[in-house]
Amino acid sequence: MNTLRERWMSYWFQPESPYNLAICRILFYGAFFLYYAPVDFSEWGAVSEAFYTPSFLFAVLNIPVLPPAVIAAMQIVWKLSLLLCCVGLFGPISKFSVLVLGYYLLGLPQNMGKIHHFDGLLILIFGILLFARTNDVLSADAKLLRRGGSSEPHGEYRWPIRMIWLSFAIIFLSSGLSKLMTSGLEWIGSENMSIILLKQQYPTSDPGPIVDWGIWVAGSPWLYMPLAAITLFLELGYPLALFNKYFRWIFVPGMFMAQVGIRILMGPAFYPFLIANLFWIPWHRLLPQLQKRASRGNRYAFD
Amino acid sequence: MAKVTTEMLSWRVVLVQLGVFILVMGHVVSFVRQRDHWPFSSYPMYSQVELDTNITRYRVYGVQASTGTEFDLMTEPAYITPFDMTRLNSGLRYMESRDPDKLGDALDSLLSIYERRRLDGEHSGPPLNGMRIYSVEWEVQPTAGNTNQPIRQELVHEFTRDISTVERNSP
Repeated sequence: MNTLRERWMSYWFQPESPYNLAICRILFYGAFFLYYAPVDFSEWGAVSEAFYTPSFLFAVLNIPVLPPAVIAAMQIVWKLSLLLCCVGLFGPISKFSVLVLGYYLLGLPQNMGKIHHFDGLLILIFGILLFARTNDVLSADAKLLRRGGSSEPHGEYRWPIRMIWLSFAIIFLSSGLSKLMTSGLEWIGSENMSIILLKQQYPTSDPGPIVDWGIWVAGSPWLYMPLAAITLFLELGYPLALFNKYFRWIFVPGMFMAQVGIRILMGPAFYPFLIANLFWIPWHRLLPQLQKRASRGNRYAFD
Repeated sequence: MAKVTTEMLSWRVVLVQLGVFILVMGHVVSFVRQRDHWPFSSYPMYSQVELDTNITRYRVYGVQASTGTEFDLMTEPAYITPFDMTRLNSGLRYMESRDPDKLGDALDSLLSIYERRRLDGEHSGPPLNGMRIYSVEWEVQPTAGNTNQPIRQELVHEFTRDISTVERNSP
């Protein structure tokens, strides 16, 4: 029992360099600042309330649809907050702003006819990072305001990334279990995947598939059935990546490629998921190697 | 086994474990209820076996103010902003099944957004004075060669706006 508890504590709180979390912070908030910079959410304020079917928290908290001008102001603050989080300035305030305004701006469209599953993960990550010590190093807070912590390894720098991994794992496991519970192995063994691929060729969603290879795959049972089996295997097995580095090498790139494949063959764009995969990369181990390479390069250049 | 840090404050450990609990339970509840509680979900997309080879979707057409001719607005994402094709189809179908009287209001607001964006130069579509919702059905073929040839196209609702009056017409 003691060992189990120790393992649990070690899993979440084993001391780790603060640089990995800090680099993830810079890349994550920076990427989503650029991703959402051109997106205008204010139009949702002009949509008829006839479309409004509030999702869970919007209904519970009675969150209204605000006028376009208010949403326009909110999105400016939100995008600015994403940028502040990237550079690591005013940590708690900017991260709180990213979470609360992000919940409203990304959540509002989910009340208008259909819930898309592309960006729910982001809200979970915004929430996790709000409580994480992301700004202890490589941040404006640490440099300018001298609010940084020590750069020594600490358990505080490990759990946020582990919890984000857990978010990925639960999401993919839920998706796999939904298929298994709803359809069983017929999801793999029938013409299901073939018909899904063919239906995506019709003008029913945007963006549509990038190429029409789905038609060819749909005509080949030796291709679409293994494709369905691999999809289910990756989704159901993904939680193994939480515990073993070898499984990590199978399931994380595997699922990444599956989502790229979905975009190419079917259309749905899971860009937020693809970007958020950066939390799986051990940047602190990668960077010293890059630095070594860089210094070696310099020596050759100047010797 | 590596030594677990003793520097973690106990309230922080509790906070993290509470976070893990919320993360797991949020998804478990969504999964058990098979309902979305965004951002928690059971992620049910494509979980139903697809054996039906017909597809039916609602599509919105614009009626040109000058000629009265109609064209498919859903061929150009900028025409139906902020919606995308999937969300607009789902929203209109849900509304039609629950409260069809609201379809006119829905088209009215879509038309207003379209016209405002046109005047702002955000798309190059022609001026419209009406919109129509059609239920369009395709029979899926192995070559998908009939994407422009639906087997059925049925008017669901029409909304026309005049200079000074607004007319709502249902078929």
